[in-house]
Amino acid sequence: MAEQKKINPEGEKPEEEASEVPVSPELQKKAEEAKERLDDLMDEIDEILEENAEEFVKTYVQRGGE
Amino acid sequence: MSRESKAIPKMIGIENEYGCLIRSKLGNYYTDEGGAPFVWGFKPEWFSFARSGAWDPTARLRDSHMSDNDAHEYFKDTRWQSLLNFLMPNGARFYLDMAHPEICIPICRNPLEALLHDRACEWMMNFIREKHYEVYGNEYRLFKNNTALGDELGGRRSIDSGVSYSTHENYLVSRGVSIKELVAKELPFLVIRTVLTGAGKVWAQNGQPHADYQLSQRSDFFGHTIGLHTTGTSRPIKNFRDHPYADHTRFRRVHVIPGDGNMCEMAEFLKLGLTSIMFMMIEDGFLDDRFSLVNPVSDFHQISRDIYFREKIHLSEGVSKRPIDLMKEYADLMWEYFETFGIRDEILRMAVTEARRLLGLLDSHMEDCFGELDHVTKRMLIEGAIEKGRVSSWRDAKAKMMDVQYANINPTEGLFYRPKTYARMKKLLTEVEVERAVFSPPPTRSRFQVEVNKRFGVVSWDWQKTFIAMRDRRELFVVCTDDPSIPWEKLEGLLCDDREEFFNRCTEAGMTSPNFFPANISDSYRFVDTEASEFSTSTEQGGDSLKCLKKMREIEGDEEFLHKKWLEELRKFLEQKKGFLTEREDEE
Repeated sequence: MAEQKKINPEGEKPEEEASEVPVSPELQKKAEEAKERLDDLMDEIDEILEENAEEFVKTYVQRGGE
Repeated sequence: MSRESKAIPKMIGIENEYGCLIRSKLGNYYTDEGGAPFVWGFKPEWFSFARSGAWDPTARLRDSHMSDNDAHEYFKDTRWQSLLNFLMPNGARFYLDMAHPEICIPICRNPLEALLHDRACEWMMNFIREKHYEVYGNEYRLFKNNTALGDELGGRRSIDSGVSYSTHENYLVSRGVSIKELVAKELPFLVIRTVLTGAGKVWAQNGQPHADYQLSQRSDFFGHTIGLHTTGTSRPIKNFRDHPYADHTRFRRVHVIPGDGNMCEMAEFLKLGLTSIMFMMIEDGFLDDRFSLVNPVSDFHQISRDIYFREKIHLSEGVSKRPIDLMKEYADLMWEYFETFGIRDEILRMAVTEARRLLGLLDSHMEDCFGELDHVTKRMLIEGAIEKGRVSSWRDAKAKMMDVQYANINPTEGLFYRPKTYARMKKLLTEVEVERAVFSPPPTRSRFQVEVNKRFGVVSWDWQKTFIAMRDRRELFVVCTDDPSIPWEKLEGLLCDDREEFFNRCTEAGMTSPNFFPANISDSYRFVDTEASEFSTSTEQGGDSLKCLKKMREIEGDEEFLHKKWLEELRKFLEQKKGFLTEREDEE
């Protein structure tokens, strides 16, 4: 059953950082396990990150399309 | 006792503009000049498919003494696009659109077939990329995504303002559905479906407020509810384009523009499946006004940024709900629709079942959507890298690089296609099926065009018309397929190996035209006045809809004139190139 996440009654937008999401301990454990499974993929992510990110982002320029 | 559905076959088309970079020969950097050479350097022979149905554009350029820039402008003109479309072995269309290499899937009969051919098109783009390196020594990067740095206003802003390029969907819908219905009911669905279909994006663009991460790639570029345009800094969520490549009196091609390109097969399948069902419900009068939104444009932006699904949006009756709950309501309604009309189609039922499962997970165990929904998969990969200290924060350029590289279709470079990562992605198709699909057009009029091309060579074509040379090479005849849902059996019977016989069969079937264009081009916009009358100026949206539709009527006048000019120029070109057709006939 969906856990109803309420908007802050003050009307502020909630933080979007993952660490600030209020979750039950059980759900938190599940989330941690899922993230551990991502450990396996870190070496592939590292390969991507070998390239200079600032250069990459700065030069990913395109013309407007549809 | 179930009601009988009046929904017409939901034929699907997808147009994908790819991001394209070419490595400079002058230094170790990439530029955005890659689009034109990527397309114009393509050789149909690379697929052992000699008769591509397109004039060789490099030959035209040689004769024209045009600069590359002028040539690009010239070929951008839609009048010439039918001369430069490459017909691919699966019936896809490969061409250059606004400096982006674009590939459109053949016309497909259902969401799974459309997914299959979208993957096959991706496979072809990657293959073409490899061949370019082998044949010309040019290195390209291709991205199946929808945004980049750049300036939509052609240099008037900084490149940080950003650009967008398309993944458009097309659905066959009955002309019997009023334009008013579509505006009212299609619009909220396209906004709300983002919770499942968004491809995810790091940061914001186009002057929108900063976000670390968003669900939608494209929402920053959408600022209107309705409109005719498909480009620029304020695109319309509901696009009015009405060029159905079909009998206009029976069919609409509904042109859906705000979607993202998906890498995850499940996300794409859901996007195509649920949207198809939504249109079916409209055709059967089963979708009411309950999902109408008060502020669809700001809702689109909000939904994109609300990555934990907490905020509500306002519905017209003064009710507000979370978009994820609204999407669940859509799914429930779709299931009720199936029951009411006795719809047993396995593919459509699967779309709703899977949607319901994933919507439940999104709310409770979002991480279990990894590998199925792009916005979750991408986010978890980046979050994981941040937690492990590989990336310092969401503001790190590395986060943005991961976002872009996620959609790089080169399996040795792209994040999605890295072997271990890709192994974790949910597959609805096998690699063998995808590769086979490259050479197997779906049994629709797309297969017909491929089969005609193999036998006689196609001089020029679009989705509706196929131009074939008569035996003397001086004249063309055109075969028109006015029904996109025409069953293969009807088309198969026309095929034969003799050109004259083929012409006779098509003529007997009433499918050839003595002119180059089907008669009554002005009928294309015959419905504009009727449709415009559905709207009053009393509401802003009504007034805008009216304006759009009247604008389409203006365009009609232009179109007819332009088509006549095109015809003259085609004839002149044929005269100049009299020998051309003979040469191509001799090719194996």
